[in-house]
Amino acid sequence: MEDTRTLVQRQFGAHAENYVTSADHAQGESLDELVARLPLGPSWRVLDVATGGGHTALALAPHVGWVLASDLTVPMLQAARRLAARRSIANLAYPAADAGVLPFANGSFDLVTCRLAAHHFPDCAAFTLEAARVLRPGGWLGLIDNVTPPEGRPARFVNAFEKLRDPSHHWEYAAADWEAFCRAAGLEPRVQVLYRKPLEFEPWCDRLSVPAATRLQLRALLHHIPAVCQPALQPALTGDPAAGRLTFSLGELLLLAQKPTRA
Amino acid sequence: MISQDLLEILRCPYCVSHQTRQPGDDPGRLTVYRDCWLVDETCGRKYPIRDDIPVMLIEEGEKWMQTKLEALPVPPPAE
Repeated sequence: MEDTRTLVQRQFGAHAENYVTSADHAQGESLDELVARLPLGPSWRVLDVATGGGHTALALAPHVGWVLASDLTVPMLQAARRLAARRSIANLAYPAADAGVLPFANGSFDLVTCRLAAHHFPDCAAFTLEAARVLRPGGWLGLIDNVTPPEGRPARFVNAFEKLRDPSHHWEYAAADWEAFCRAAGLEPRVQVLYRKPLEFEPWCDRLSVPAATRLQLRALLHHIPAVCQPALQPALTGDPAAGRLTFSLGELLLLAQKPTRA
Repeated sequence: MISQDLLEILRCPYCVSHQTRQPGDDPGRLTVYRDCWLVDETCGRKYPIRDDIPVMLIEEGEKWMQTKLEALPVPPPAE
């Protein structure tokens, strides 16, 4: 059986440009909030882990000195670089790297970001430890990711739903889990904001070229969602269950955590 | 061509990361070989720079561990 890393490389390698053009990834309230809340400056060096289409790296680049946009998948980095070139943004570099094994010296960055990607990581605790390692004292981790409710059944339902659409999905956690990962890595959570992210079902499937049979299964899951899981996805259907307009929403977390400044 | 700023902070991921960190204050330092390889001369892992993208994945570095410097292909082969 293939591991998550291999699935991620295949999935995102094949759909790289879809993530560049995806409106859900290009912008978002949480991304604006991340940029607004941090004391960014021209001397800052930023690492954006699992940059995907490069949207977070590009949002930060005008406010800082230098951004390294890293990703496990080289075609994603090439797509992100093309987007930066189209926007004439040049203070970026693009190393391929694994989020759990970062190829950087300790204390290299003022900010490590990771947006809408950690649910693909096989080991989020390892990622958080690595982020803490490469941050300077006083540096920040800025994490944005889909999150589930803390209860077990809705969390399992959301993850099963996501994994059916995208086999490279590993697990999305609850906000409290991320707080625990940060504390275990020696990072102090300073800001946590929860959002609801509305999604149109068909474009969400189109982005990964989900086969028709799988779409029907996903629709059936939403149509027959157990009452206890309903608030976690909030599906809304207009018309025929097999083909009508279907929307749902996912929880999203913005978490800013700081590495303590040593005396 | 890799910038000096990037070279200053890039390290061999195997030697620098928390799970397999090697001894010393600053393990995993890299040197550039013929503008298209990053070489950890201590552990022997060698990371290709393809299309100006340093591919800093452990499995990639280990592919070339037994290859002598002078035998490294220039440019590195596509994946």
